[in-house]
Amino acid sequence: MTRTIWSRIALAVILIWTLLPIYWFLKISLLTPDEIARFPPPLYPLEPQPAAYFNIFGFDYELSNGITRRASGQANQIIRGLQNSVIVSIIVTVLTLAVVAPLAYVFARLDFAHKNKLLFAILLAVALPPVSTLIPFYSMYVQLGLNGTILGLVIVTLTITIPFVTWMLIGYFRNLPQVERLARIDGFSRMGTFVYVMLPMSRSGLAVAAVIAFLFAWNEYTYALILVNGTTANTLPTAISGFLFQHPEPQHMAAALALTILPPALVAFLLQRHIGEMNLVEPVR
Amino acid sequence: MASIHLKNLKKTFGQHVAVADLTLDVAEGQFVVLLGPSGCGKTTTLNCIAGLEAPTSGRVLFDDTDVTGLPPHARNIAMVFQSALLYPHLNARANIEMSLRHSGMTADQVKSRVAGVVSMLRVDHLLDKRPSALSGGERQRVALAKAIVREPSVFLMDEPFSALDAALRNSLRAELVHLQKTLNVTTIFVTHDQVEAMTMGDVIVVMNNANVEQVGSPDEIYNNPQTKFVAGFIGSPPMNFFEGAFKSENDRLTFHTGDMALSVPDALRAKLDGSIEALTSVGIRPQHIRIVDAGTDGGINMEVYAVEHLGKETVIILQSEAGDAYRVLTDPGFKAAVGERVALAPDLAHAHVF
Ligand SMILES: Nc1ncnc2c1ncn2[C@@H]1O[C@H](COP(=O)(O)OP(=O)(O)OP(=O)(O)O)[C@@H](O)[C@H]1O
Ligand SMILES: [Mg+2]
Repeated sequence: MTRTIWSRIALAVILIWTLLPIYWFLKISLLTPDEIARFPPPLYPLEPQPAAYFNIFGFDYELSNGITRRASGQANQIIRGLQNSVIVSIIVTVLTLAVVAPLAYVFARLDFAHKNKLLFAILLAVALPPVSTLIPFYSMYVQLGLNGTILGLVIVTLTITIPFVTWMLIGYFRNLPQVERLARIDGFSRMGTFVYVMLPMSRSGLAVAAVIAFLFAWNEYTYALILVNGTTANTLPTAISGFLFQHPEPQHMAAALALTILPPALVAFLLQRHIGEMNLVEPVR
Repeated sequence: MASIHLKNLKKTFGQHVAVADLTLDVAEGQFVVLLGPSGCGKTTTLNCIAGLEAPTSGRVLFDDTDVTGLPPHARNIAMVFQSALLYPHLNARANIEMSLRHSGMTADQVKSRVAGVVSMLRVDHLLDKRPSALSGGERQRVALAKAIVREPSVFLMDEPFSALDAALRNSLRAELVHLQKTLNVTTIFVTHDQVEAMTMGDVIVVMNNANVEQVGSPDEIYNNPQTKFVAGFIGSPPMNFFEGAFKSENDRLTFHTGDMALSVPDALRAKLDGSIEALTSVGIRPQHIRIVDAGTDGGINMEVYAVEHLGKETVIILQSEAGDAYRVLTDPGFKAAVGERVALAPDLAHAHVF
């Protein structure tokens, strides 16, 4: 009895903790600048305005009282950032899955020489803080001409998503039942087993892997800031950070932020069944 | 249907010998049980027959064909794994159909084959369910259907019933034996449960420590165990062993164990045929021992350690002064109190000497 009460309180705290900031900037995005400037700030939008959402895409918006809210000067950056973010995230997700699914499968289910050493190398890559490789990547990219390119950003993002998602999927693959023997009796080759049995069987795990790779690529900020910021390959997070140095239009920034959480929310919503199915609490044995 | 011949089969994992040197002939249509304690090499043997493991040396023949180098699918076998392994992401129907995926059959042929097996095993109502939605017994029947649908020449089963409760095991046991006799498919069944082995097998292969201890019908294995291991492993409650020596004095043969001397009846004497070693082990089943009053002539003094009521009979567990345990089967009415001093009178006419 007390347990349910406490778990409810805990749940409430977590919900407030995660949802309150989101609510706050969603609210700001629907306010006018003078409402935002008011003290104490309004707890909810009295007259919700979609103006900011038009403005950040480069459209003027006329309020009901005849005042026109002008398009944001950042609109071009935002639109291009959004495009680039979508492109980078999708490419990274697809490539990560294509590499990681066979890689994690092999590590989890097959035996070969030096397996543990190679596994350790992957763990090392996971443990390495991204910032530590930033400078080497930068100087290398300068020589290769990859600075300010989408290709460069994709490559550097893959160096993080691949080891991390591999590590995560190894645990998932290990816990699947020993159907390889069944598949061999049924006449599948090694490759056939992987393609026709293991992949369909691990839809949930792969879905979660895809979400993680996508979210990582979508949220990536550090590398983007150094490698592509201010170029045509700029992504949404760095484009938004440009607002910080502009004439203060908090509602534009809030609307742009809402834009950034939309795709992840959508992805998580579509794949929630699989996320529930895959027990991420299961430790890697 | 095929006969199976294992010739000097050997399998090692690094230094570890899993199967030492196994030679075995299984006739067409026979139901052979591999029986032995955990880790004795039963699964390894079965996997070598299936082609899931390559033997280190030795050969596997189906009829006259050497299949040692063939992959599992080319051997025309079907296998049921421990706890009825199925593809978890496919429903029962798809699981059964998977067995025919590489058979080159047309969709219609597959359909009619599956329909036949499904009605034979009465799993029609389960076809749309995933394995996780099936009970243990249902899963087992689907696994059997998946095996049978191939119409293989050999069935291989690795402890298929080990995860089921006793009642379900009983009914599936009968069903499997019936099915095997109806289809007349050569079957090798692995278990560490002696009841399963005794009730199902035409032939039992008792294994221990990577070696075959004895091959024979359930009767032979029970009544004429060739080694002490087989004698102790088969039968419940297990056989009692008395360590001691035979002594021959002016035409009278006696068996000395502890400070007791038991006279040897002619029945046992005939079995010994002169080969009397100094130190031997004499095994007597619990039903061939009586409990008599302490101090009775020809009895070995002991203390009652525990009493187990089985309904049809009662098992009295006795402890000798040396601390060894002995089991005696008595009528259910037999009264004994723990700690009571009694004597144990073995009937040496039924003794096995090792
Ligand atoms: N892949 C393997 N690598 C190393 N050792 C193995 C392997 N497979 C089996 N063994 C060893 O070989 C021996 C025989 O194993 P096996 O699985 O055949 O035993 P089993 O009789 O089937 O036992 P159980 O009743 O427990 O299933 C065991 O000691 C086991 O540890
Ligand atoms: Mg086994």
